[in-house]
Amino acid sequence: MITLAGLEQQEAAFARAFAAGNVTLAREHYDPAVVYVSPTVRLFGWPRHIEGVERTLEFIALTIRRCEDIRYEAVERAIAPGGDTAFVIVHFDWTSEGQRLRSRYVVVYHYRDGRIARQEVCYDPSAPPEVVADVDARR
Amino acid sequence: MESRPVDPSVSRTPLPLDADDVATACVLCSHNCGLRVDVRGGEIVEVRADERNPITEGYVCNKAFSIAAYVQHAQRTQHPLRRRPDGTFERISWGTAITEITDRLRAIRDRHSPRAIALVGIGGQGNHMDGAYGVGFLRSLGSRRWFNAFAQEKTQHNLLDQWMFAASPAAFFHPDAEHSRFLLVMGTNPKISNRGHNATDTLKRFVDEPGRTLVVVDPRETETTRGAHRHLRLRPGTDVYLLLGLTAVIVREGLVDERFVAEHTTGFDAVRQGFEGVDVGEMARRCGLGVEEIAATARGFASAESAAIFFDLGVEQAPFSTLNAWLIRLLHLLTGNVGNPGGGVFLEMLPPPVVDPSLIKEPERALASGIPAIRALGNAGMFSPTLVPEEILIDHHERIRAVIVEGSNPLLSYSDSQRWREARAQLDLLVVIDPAMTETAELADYVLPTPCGYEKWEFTIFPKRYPEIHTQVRPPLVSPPVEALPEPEIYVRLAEALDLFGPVPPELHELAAHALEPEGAAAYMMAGQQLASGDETRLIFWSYRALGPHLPAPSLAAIWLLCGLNAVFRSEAVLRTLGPDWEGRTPFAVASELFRRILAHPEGVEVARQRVETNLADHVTFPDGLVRLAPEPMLAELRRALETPPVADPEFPLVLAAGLRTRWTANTIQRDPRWRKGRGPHCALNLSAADAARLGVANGEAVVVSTRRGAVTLPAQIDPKLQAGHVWMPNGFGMRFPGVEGLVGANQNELTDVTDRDPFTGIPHHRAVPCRVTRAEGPGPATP
Repeated sequence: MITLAGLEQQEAAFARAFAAGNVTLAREHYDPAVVYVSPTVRLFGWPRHIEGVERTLEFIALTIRRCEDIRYEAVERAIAPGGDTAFVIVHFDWTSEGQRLRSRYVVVYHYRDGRIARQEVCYDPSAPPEVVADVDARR
Repeated sequence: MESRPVDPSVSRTPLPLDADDVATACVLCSHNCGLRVDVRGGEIVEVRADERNPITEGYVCNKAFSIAAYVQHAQRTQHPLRRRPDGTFERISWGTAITEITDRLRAIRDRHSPRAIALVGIGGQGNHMDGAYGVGFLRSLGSRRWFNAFAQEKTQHNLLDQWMFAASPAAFFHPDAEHSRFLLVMGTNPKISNRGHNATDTLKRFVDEPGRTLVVVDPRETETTRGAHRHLRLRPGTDVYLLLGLTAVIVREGLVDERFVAEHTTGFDAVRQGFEGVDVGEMARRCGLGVEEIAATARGFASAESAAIFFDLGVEQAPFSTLNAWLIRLLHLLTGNVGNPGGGVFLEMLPPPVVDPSLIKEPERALASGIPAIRALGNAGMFSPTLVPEEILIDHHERIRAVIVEGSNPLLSYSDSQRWREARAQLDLLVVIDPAMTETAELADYVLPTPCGYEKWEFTIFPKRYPEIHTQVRPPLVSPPVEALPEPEIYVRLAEALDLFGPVPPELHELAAHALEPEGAAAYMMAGQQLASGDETRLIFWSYRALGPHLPAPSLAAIWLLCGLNAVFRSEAVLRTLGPDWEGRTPFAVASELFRRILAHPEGVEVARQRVETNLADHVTFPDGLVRLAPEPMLAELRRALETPPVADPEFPLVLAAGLRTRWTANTIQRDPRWRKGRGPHCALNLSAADAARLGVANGEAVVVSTRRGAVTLPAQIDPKLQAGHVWMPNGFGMRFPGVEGLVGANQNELTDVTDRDPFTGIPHHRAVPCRVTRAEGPGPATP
């Protein structure tokens, strides 16, 4: 079971981990046998299902290695009936080649014993990210 | 085009009086054959099989052509009714009915207990829109005492699937008969009952295709046994001994698939020890078969490339029915035939197979027997209806005092009608929601009229295909009686009068305006879950009011929410159906597309597709992924079966199969007897030539069938292919109908006994009722 407070705590941990560029800071929220599913695997030639916490963290680290100044924010969150599943709408902002970009996506979490047993990232990798601002202008 | 306005709870748009080739489904049995109908002047005038239905693909039986008789007959309920002190009924308004019923429910809840309120029924054969609303209403009142017809037949399977696999109660262990190389059919005559998927076609292929074997176990010679390679004609009610013998042979002769057992199961040593004490010769004697017949069948099953058991009521409503369910699973598992094409597989249906964490909590139990509610068809637990009378009659402060009956006719359809009448006398409140003035409605305090299955939005849910998962959500064909309200509307009105959920938050109304688009769906679902604090039922009831004005009918809010659950809980299976273009889209986009497709295809549509390669692994949810072969209660039940030979009662020497299906039975929802064609009699006691000769009875002469619970008189029908000592009568008879003298046939449940039932589930032993048959004095009843 996951509570709303637990979900917020988890999302705050992801925000800190992404900001630090170190996703292993969120390790404690994962079940060791987590399964990670994301359409972005196609971009990196990884298998459709990524199994285990170490491989999952390795893959997430791979996806953000070229991103600077990441800001991860769960803008909306809800717990599905039964309490073992939650979904979150994320705004994921980063800087790349002088532009501030934003990806909006949904993450569905399935829990076992309060930890993430399956993480499904719902995101269209063929859609271009939204340009939030020109970095120089922002400065 | 001329049309007729209807209540907005039925349809937001008027229904045309004339329409051609409208897709629908037969609701007279669980096969739900796809149909096309023509409507003229607001009446169904023509019915055809629907070749375009993706589930049944043009398959149909004779019953479907009579659906108009289910819609139009002399016993339709027209208005809310209240019982007067003299037993007659008076017409009242909906407002009065809702106010008075909720006042009485509130008083019973406050004075006694919420558990003093029970719900009996819910759902029909293809009419399931009431489910989420009815069960949600009961649970929100604070009661979990739901009694459903499914639990009169099949909850032993759910119990075993939970004990052995930790499988979801929304999944069904079922033979993949279309691909089996060896099929053992037990307790069913699918060519008449239409059990499974397009049974006649599926079974015929065993004859047409070389290398496939069909073995049918049945005490009778039937339409199905005639097409089999082998017919094991056992004594009625002794299936458990055959299953014990088959399993013992497989264990003893080294026919176990040791690799499969080692990789996928635990507990085999306990199974082997348990079957050491099984004397196959004794089992053969008990079921009336030869040892070699049992051994050959066991060897054929174990050595086939794939094998499965096709089962139904004959083993489910028989002695040791929960043990039978275990043995059926054990035979599949020991031979490596679970999860493989042609073996036993888990089928899924529209509600995704989520294992609710509360499964592990102590279930609700019956007060008198301690029998637990069993989670089936979803995560809510249900009790066998056989338990209702004693739960009313027991001396306990939480005994049942109020019953809402909906979608069922307990006085005829459930065991032991006499016991139900006694129990009814002890109720403080009986409310019946039904399209017809049934025998149960005649005894109600309030009768609430509701549309029949062709007068409102409805859907089919029982799984038939594999690996495809289908549903058929269909619009109303014709208008209901003016004052009839769909069941969801009734439950919502009752809930609002009791203030079970509070008012719908205004922001949900605002968000609902855009909820049918993916972005709007996301906002609605997020806000809805938050505002309802994760309470699924509250969100369903709120959505009925908030989303309802934006849907073709408000009851479809439950289907919309189910699409959301599919997108979240079964996303990969849904994507297999939608295609790779949908990969990575948000669950809200996927849910919106599913809902759009469902409404665009009233002939039925695939909503998801299971993964054949991982069928077993996908449904075992124990942390170690291993199937439990030997649940402790089953090892004890095994010992009890070995110590218990078949009942032999000199006072009641015959075995009655009470309630068999024929071409002219449709439970009790077909009330006008004129739907039946042919000479009849359609309700007869069928007996062997030997028993007829012994009794001195000729065809058509009246006989009296007596059991410990009662007696009925009906005409005899001699079946030369029936074995001596075995008699049967059909189900779905015994009702009163205007213009018919006496009853329409005889009610089997005047003979059945609520205490003759399985100890784990309360499922009655209707297929093996000890009885006595004598010649009747006098002419006997009219024959329908």
